[in-house]
Amino acid sequence: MWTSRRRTRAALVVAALSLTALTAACGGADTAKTAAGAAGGKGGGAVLKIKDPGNSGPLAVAKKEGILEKRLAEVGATVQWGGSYASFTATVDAVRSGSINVLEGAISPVLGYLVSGKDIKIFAFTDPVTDPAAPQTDGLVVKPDSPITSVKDLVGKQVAVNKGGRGEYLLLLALQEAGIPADQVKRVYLNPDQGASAFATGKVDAWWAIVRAYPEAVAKGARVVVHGRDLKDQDLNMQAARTELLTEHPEVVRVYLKVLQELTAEAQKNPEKFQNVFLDQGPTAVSGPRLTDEIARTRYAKVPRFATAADGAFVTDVAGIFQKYGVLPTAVNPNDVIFDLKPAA
Amino acid sequence: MTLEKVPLGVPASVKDPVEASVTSVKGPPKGLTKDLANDSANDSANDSANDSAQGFAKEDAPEREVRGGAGATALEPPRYLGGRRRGPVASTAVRVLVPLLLLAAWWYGTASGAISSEILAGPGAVVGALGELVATGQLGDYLLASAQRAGLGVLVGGGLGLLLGVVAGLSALGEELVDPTMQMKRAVPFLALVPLFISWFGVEETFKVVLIAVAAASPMYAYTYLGVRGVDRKIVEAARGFGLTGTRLAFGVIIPTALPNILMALRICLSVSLTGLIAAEQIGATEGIGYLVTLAQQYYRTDYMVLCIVIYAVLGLLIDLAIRGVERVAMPWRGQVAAR
Repeated sequence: MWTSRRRTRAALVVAALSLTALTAACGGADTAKTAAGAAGGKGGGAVLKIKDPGNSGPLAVAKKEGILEKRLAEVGATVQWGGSYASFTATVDAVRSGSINVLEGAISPVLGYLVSGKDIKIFAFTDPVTDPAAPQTDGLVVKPDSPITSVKDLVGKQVAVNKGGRGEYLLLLALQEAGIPADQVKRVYLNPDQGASAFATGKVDAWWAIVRAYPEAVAKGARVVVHGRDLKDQDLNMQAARTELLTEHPEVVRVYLKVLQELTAEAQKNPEKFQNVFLDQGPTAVSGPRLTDEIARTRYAKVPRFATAADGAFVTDVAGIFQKYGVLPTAVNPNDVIFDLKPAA
Repeated sequence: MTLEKVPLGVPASVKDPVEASVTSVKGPPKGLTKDLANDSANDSANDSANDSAQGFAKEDAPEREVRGGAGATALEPPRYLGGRRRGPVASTAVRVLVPLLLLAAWWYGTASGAISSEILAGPGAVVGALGELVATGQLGDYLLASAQRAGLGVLVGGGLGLLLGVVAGLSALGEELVDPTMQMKRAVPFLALVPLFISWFGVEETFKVVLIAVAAASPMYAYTYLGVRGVDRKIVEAARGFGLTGTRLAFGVIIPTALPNILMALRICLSVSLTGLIAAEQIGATEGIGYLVTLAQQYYRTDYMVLCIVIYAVLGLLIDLAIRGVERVAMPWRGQVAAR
């Protein structure tokens, strides 16, 4: 009894000491965080929280030159640049937790989120690039020696797409237009970076490469069967924001869109400035033919515009495809999704 | 030699005095090693069993000479004095042999075209990538950012694991209170907690540190608990005999005896923190070596992907070296008593 009581006491003392140290450490961290929070929200103005813009594009230039900071200060708001996210799912998690309140992307990936949550709304769209001289931005790619030459040849084959995103939407759309039941083609769900590996090593027969993956795949010799532009692609690029930001501070979001519009217009004239914004070297830098390609793409990029009620058709069309093939459980009401930010003239 | 003369440390299960004396003279007694090893299946118990066994052999050797009769004139060295150490040069050469062979195979495979650069970038490309990272100053920034996250995470998580492990190891009540929960927690992959943690802690530094801390707590707890449970009760009794109690007993005897386990735990915690970094820095990061993995994937740079692996491998080596250094400083007796 005596020994065990002593031993318990020893343990308790050790426990108490360590706990005190830990509490002190945590307390310190909390205080620091509160102080930082107070500084960030100074003036009670709105804070735009944007994810890391990377090394190219209008937002990267805005971050580098402090354009948003300056313009937002005029309406009493601030901007907070966040980190980057490995996948769209992770980005959505960040939006849900409020760490990001403005995001851009295609309609398709946010639909899954919009079905279950009403806390973000689309306030701007970018019309699709239709100029035939503009470089393509996506495509169904196969190996150069693949027997697949048209969408019809996909029957019984494995195609890598990103789940619930643009890749899956375009594949389903292509199959629908070719009159092939979707269940005759095996969809393999892979994120773009995983898709790249699976495609390079021949683990899938075809891959719908989107965004950065597409020029990368073409540069490595892949053959393109069909482009998104060849289809009736309704999956526009859009800008969305958290609903409370849009309802409480619409003028702030308008300033953000204005800046974005101005910078995109500038990028059309001077695309070189919008590549390798921060770094000329390293993993995010592009060079050689890839740089030429990016410059051409930037030259043809469209300027984002305010979303209107008529744009509901795009949302309905994309959601319709997803719902038809069971990607989305229910329909999406466009009125719940689009926010009319346009100032009354 | 009678049972009374058998030194402390031989379990009561060795009942036969003859067998006891024979085994204690002839070197590591089988029964002794087995008994202690069964008592607690961990390294330190095995080590201490071996240590004490050798101790007997050395102590008893002169006695055998005396009993050996008039024929014996000189001292006879014991048959087993521990493994002979190779010279430092030979030892280092053997140590780097396998990594060098791997490197040569990599080099040859990529240079000869047997391995496509899409599947595995060659050493030249990886060195080029490293050069770029150094030139832009990113490597230093990334390592520093990750070191802060991992350091803080391991400090908090490892500290908590150590504390709970000591509590569970020392007191029955502590074990009853702590152990079931920790065993449950140990089975939960920390990656499964990522979505929850994002909604609880956001995506900033707190989230990253908490994730690493949670990942590091489990191995530290498990090893500390085993280590503390494995402390020989006779050592504790002896220390009590000298009047050590309470915190002095815990810090002076129990924790130093469990130190091999705790340092092993620290090794694992630091390795686990690298996994944690990859998971944490995929989300909302702008620098860090885990973020570099994400970047390499997002921009389809196989050279940077391989560079990340090389960086992690080198970090693994450095962690091991650091802990070896700590072992040498914190456990100076170990070199003399360890089986090898």
